[in-house]
Amino acid sequence: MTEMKNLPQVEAESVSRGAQRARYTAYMQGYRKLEQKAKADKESREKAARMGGAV
Amino acid sequence: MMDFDEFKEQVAKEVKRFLPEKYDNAEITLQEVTKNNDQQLTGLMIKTEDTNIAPNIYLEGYFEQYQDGKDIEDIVRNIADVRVKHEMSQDFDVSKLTDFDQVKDHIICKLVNAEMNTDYLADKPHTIVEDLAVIYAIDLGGSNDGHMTAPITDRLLESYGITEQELHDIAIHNLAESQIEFKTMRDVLVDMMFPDGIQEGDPRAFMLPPEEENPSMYVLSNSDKLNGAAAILDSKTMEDISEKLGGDFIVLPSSIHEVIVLPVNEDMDRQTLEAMVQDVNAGQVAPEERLSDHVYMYDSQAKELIRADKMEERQQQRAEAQKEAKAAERGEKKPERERVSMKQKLPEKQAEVAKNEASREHPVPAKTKETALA
Repeated sequence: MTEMKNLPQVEAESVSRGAQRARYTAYMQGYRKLEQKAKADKESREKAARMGGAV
Repeated sequence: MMDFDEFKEQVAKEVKRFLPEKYDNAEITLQEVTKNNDQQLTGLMIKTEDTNIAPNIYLEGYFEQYQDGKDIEDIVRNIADVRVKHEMSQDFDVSKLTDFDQVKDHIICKLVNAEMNTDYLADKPHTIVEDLAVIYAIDLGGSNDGHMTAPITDRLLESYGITEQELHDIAIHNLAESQIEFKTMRDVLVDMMFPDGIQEGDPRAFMLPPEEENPSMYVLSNSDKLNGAAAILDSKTMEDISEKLGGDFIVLPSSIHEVIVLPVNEDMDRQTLEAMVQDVNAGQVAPEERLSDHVYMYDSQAKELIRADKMEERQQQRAEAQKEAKAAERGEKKPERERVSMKQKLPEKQAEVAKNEASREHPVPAKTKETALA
């Protein structure tokens, strides 16, 4: 929206609930994947350390 | 097929054909508008003589429809319908923007990316927080579906007769009084997907994350979820979150409308999280709603938000300073220990013992191995 000269534009702002949900879902899924990867990496590091210790 | 310049001229020329008679003398103008993240949009304004306000109808979306094959006449008719639907019944009360006494309780702050908004910020007072910029606007009211706001420009600030710092303080005070929401991701999704509660057997419930004793993801925003990323500027909220999560925490800049908060996870590095933020920004966040491609941390010791890469440097500096402090402590005690070292005292002690032995009437026999074990 806009109005008189020298005054700022008045903006109508809204949020798309669909876009919001898509962002949340993307973060949720992305983070879950990272957690699984971090867990797998940790397990493999621990396993390697155990093997190294046995040798 | 017309290009965008030809398209907008055509729309401006033809739109009156589809408008009612009262618009015969309306002034029709096209103007470039800079939106968040320096997004340039072309607005079509159709202003009648009897009002001081008119909506800007942005043409980029309509041009996409034209490129997709929609008939130009249908598009122009649609634009005319939109204009008629948004007719204001009365003049806009300009004092809602210009009278500081009316304005001050409605000043809000918004958080945007500083680098991506060099043009947008050029005529607006702003405060830099890391690589983000706090900007100020007047909230003219609205509902859950949206709000009318007017950005505060340098010119408007000058007319209020206050400084940028005073403006910032007012906005932060109003933020503290506003409804800030910090919820688990699961709770936010439940609110969005099941406003009336989850009915038993609803298959969509399987889309929700599991209920966790220690949730791994939270959303920080305001009750409208509009420009809610600014909630990170409320120091009390950040301290409360820090207390709840046990110290430092991670802030992912999900969009200008909210941030995502994660407890610190030692198994996850900054680069991995940053790659995720960049991925989501590129794939799921509209360009005008992007906040940042970086990860931030709340430093509970300094009680401030800091970019995660700088936090790593800060943590290193702190670790080095601690190490130096410990070394300095050892360094001070060292001379004392040297002064009393046994090695230094040995000849003195030996002479003392020999003297004592010589003066004894019944010297004690030297311990043999056997007596020592007995």
